[in-house]
Amino acid sequence: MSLLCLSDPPSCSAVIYLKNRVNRAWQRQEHYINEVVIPDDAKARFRDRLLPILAASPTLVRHQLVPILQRILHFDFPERWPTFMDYTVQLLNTNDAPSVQAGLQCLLAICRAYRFKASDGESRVQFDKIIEANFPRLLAICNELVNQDSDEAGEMLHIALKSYKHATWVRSSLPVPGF
Amino acid sequence: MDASTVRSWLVSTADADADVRRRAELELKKVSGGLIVIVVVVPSPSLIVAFLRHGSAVGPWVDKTMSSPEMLTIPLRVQGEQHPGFTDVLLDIIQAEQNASIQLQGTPTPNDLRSDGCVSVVPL
Repeated sequence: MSLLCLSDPPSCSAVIYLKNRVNRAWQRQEHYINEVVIPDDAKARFRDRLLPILAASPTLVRHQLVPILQRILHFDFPERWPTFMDYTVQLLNTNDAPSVQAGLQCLLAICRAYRFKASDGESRVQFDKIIEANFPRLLAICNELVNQDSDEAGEMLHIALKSYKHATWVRSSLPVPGF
Repeated sequence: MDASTVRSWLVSTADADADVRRRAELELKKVSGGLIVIVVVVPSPSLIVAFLRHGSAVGPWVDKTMSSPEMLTIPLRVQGEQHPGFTDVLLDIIQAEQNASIQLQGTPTPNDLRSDGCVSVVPL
């Protein structure tokens, strides 16, 4: 953290403030009863800007942005953020490694988000659609990454494999509709 | 409040001069939500207690040394943004630091995809 602050103090301070603010005030929290909840219009602007910023951020800033994304998905997906998966698909389909990495992080974030969603048939249906739409692309990305030797490729592969892990966990825990 | 001003305050929080840091932190507290001081005139201590119970004060301490018996200074911690749009300004700052060449610009072009429709990950 200190290294990040030395190299880029404004971004460091800004992203840490945003992370704390989103954690405390995206929804009313029992632990932060005095916190002013972020207004809906500000939330909408925040959602619109988050993924492009995530895709273009340096690694250390991105590490702070991912928990923000996770938090927002927990509360807002899919009802208030129906375009999230469209953006994720766009990122996964680009020919630019940082954007693809951001797409992988988005996919991992949505897999994680479903771990904490209600265990009902509707969630299972939603998650199955996400898998059907994105995991073929994920497999293609993994097939390319395993042939690369760079640290970045290794990190991307790690993120991708974590998505498989979480997806497996979710699919084994959510009930199949009709049963 | 604009991004360049807030950015300069953020930079100043890492300044070697303690006074510069303090001033910057104070400015940031004003816009981001921090300790503010409200002076209230109250006729009796019981009203103070009532105010603290029903107001938004998070701490019950009252600095009597700073004021007359009739005028008490009650610090309240106000959480959240004092200026709407502060989160937008912070996003502006983060965005401004980025390399514009790798920002996501709308939908990917056909050149971003391989002929078989799969992703081509550029070696890093």
